[in-house]
Amino acid sequence: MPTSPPVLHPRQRLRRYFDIREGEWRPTLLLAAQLMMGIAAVICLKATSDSLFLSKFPASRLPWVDLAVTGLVGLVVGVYLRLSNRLGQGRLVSLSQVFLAANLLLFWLLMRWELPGVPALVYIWVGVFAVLVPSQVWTLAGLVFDTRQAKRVFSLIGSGGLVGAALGGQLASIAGPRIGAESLLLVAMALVLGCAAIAFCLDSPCLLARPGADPSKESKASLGESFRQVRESRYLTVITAAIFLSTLAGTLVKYQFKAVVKLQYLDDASGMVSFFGDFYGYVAVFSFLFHTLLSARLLRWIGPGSALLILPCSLLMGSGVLLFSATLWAAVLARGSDQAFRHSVDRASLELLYVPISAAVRTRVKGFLDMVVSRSADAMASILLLAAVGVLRFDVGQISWVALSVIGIWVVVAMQLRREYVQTLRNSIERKEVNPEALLRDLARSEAGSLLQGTLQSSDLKSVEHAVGWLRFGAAGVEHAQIAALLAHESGAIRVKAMQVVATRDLPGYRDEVLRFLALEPGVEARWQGLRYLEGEADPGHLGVIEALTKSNDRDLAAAASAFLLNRDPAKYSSSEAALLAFVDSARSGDIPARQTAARLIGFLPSSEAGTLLLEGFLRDESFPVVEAALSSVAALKPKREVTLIRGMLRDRNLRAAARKALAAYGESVLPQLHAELADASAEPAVRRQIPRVLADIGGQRAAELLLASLDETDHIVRHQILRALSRIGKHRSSDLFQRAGVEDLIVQELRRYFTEVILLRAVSDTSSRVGALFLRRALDERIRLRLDWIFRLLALIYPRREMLDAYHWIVSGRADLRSNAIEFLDRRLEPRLRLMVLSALEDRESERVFEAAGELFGISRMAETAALENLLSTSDPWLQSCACFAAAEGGRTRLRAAIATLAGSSDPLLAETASLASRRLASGSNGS
Amino acid sequence: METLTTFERAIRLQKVDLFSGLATDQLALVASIAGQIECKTGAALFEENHPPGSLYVLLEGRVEMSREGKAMFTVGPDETIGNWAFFDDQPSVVSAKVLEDTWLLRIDREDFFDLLTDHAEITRNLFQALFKRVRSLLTAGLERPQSTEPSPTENPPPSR
Repeated sequence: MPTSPPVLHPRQRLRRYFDIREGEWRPTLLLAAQLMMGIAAVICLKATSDSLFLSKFPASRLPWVDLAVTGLVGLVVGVYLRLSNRLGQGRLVSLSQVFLAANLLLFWLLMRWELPGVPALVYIWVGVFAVLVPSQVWTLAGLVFDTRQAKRVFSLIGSGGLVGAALGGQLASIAGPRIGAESLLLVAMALVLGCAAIAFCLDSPCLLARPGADPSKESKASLGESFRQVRESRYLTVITAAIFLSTLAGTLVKYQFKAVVKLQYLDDASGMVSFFGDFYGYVAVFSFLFHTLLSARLLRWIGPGSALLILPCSLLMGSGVLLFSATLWAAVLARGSDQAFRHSVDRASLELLYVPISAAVRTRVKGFLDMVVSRSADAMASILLLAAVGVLRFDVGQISWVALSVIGIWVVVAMQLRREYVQTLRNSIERKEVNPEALLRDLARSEAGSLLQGTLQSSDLKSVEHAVGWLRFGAAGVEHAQIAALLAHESGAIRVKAMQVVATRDLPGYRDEVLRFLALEPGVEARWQGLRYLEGEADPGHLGVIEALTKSNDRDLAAAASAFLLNRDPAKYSSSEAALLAFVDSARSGDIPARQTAARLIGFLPSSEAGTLLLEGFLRDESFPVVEAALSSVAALKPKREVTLIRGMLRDRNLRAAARKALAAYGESVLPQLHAELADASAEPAVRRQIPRVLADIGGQRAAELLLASLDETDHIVRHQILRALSRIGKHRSSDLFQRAGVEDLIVQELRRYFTEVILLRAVSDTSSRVGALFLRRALDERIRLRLDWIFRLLALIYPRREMLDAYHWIVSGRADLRSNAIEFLDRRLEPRLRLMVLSALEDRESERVFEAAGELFGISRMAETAALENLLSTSDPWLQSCACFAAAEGGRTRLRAAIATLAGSSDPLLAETASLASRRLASGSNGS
Repeated sequence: METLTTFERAIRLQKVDLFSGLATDQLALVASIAGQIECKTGAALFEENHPPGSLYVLLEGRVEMSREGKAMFTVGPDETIGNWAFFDDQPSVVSAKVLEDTWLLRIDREDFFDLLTDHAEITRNLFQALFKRVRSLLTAGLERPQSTEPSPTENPPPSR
């Protein structure tokens, strides 16, 4: 009986809302707290430094100090990257933050002594601090979490930053006028020390929890190296451009904002501290609400690529308003939207864009992008402002012309970045193909050649045969005489392989050796290869050597030569046909090799009724090598009357491969018959299991449709073969071979079965003392894996095949980082109808989320063990039914006795036997242990 | 010991190292060609230098493996006998003698290869398990520190 889902505890609801999972809470909360304190310190210091600077200097000096900030940041980053190579990220963050706190104490003392120029110094220093601290937190976060985790937890971490901004703003607004702007430096110092303490806690266990996140294993970073890395990657180049333009536009708007504030407050430092505090505080509150309620959802709905467009679009509006009305409210609107979105959805989107990049590359370039590129943009903004204000005499509103131009380019780059993100995810899951043939060729040309020569002289025939096989990839260094000897080798297998080498590599000068080979070798295929070689060696149109062979005393060789000539020029050699038919006819009463040769030669003759009749006779031969040879000739003559006979040969393991090939040669004309046999559940399973492969070999639209129509098959082996066949057809498909909606329906059905099986698995006990229950769990687990394999095979029919199969490969690879990137890729790639269902199926099967997804998506409820066993007994899978019978008897489930007794009469021998055993045990009360 | 059903034989086969890579329904297919036999104490399962025959899985009892008359090791429940000769077409290099009344599953070589021909996925899984083992041995070999002196604890286990 299905049981109703449990009522969720408020804490569980909270956990579900934020989607934070086992083991993620601690690092997430620590990072959120660190970001909160870091941003609170930044906002507090910005309000302080802005007001101190603007109360002492005019707004037109701002571009100069911004340029100084850029220069200092470049210096600091260089030193910082070198130190990160030595100390590792975790330790460097905590130590550098202690150093920054000490700096703040020093500035406080300098301010108390009222030394001139200190406000400008503090302004520049705060510029560096505001870049360094948030970047440190996000770098740590990127090392701790993988792609999928990042997508869920980054928004919560970002919320910490927004709370910090609100807190910092309020601190500046309320405490600033009371204790003085200078004393806020001490408040900020306390906050930075808190950040350092958290960085210390985060160091070691969390950082090393994720594969590839060990900083000690990352390659050494330098500015030059980082720049090279960015230049070589198209994706990183586009990210760089986006960051540059974003910062450039933000700095221009920031200047407009500060200039308007200066005009409003003139030299009133306390008023400005209070205003900046309020402004940053309210913006942070708005930003926090937006981020908490909408950021994560926006990222899920539209993805990070599209979410990156929100900030430029809002700035486009804000800057447009400033152009026409340079008032305080317009400035607040422009700067407010910049601050609100930049530190919420834009930051979270940007951080996600880094995640598909490997940890080593990310560490190398992230600092460079965050600090050097952003500061270069600041420098560029300062230069533009100096030119606009100093040379062109632009007023505050007119600066918007510059800003709007920059934002326009930024929108274009952000759209390009959206495309690059999906492409990078795709690349990150692509398998590197190795060409084995190329490897073998290289090997054959290398020093291995001398080793090969030695092996060719070995007395071990198997070794020689293998070595001859290698010669196909290069015969450099092997002497003519050695190959000639191989063509006349006592072992037929070696002779044939040597002939293949000579023919496929087109080695010249072996005419006499090939003639000797033709006399020795009875096989038609090998002789055909030899004859083709002779044809290639002769002058065009002069086949005298082969004509001479038609007069050979060896009747088989003469017949093969005649067939070859007839095949090459039917008009010229038409007289050979009657002789050949006579030869084949006479061979019918000969020994097996003679019949075999005759059966194969028919396939090289022009199509005729006489030939077809002879072939039909050989197809009924009592010897399987003869029938196999006849099957090879079917492709040429296609005797219509024999389709049923050949179809029956699919059951014979000796003839199966040749029969499949022969049936495929008929093409679409046999599709109705094959489909009827496939759809007939009472037909022989051994035959039915071969038919999908024949359909795949025939290929095309009709074969694909018939295979899709057969997917309601209950025999899971036949079903697996159907899906494999579809996969093979899909490999060479044209884009419209499969109807998307139909395949999507099949995928949804498959997903429903998948979730049902997962729920059944969870219902069966995993007590180690119950061998039968454990065996059933194992069987169910295998079915679930198979089901996932089928789902991806179906996905590969309507999405790029390689991408889907690679994604599946990484998902089952057992490596968390690859799995995470593959899931993220699917998240971006799949259409909305399938996305949620497929991603839910990829959740950890042991988690509570599986129950939730099964219930929400398909209305499947959790079950008790007896209900699960009852369900399994009623499936159409005899193997699962057998396992359920055994487990039910072992668990003493007497309620299921009747159902099990019915199965004892099954036509499946294993199920009947197991059900009988289970019935006996339930009747006697023994569980068989 | 009672005669086991095919299903029970499949459950026993899951413990056999050689079949560790097979799916449960594939184990049932192997179980369907495995015959259950009883051997009395002192009986010879096969002799050294005899042609390859069957693979045995011990259900109950003990079997002694010897070479040139010297006892090499003893095989117990859920272990297999005759692995190498089963696969490599060469005469057996050891003799197998029953030490106490023993129950075994016997898998005939021809039947097994027929099964592999009919079910290619079994061959694939056997290969996967085999390659996994070779890879782990290679990895262990690569990770082991290089030493010129053979370690006294590194004597190879007796081959079966």
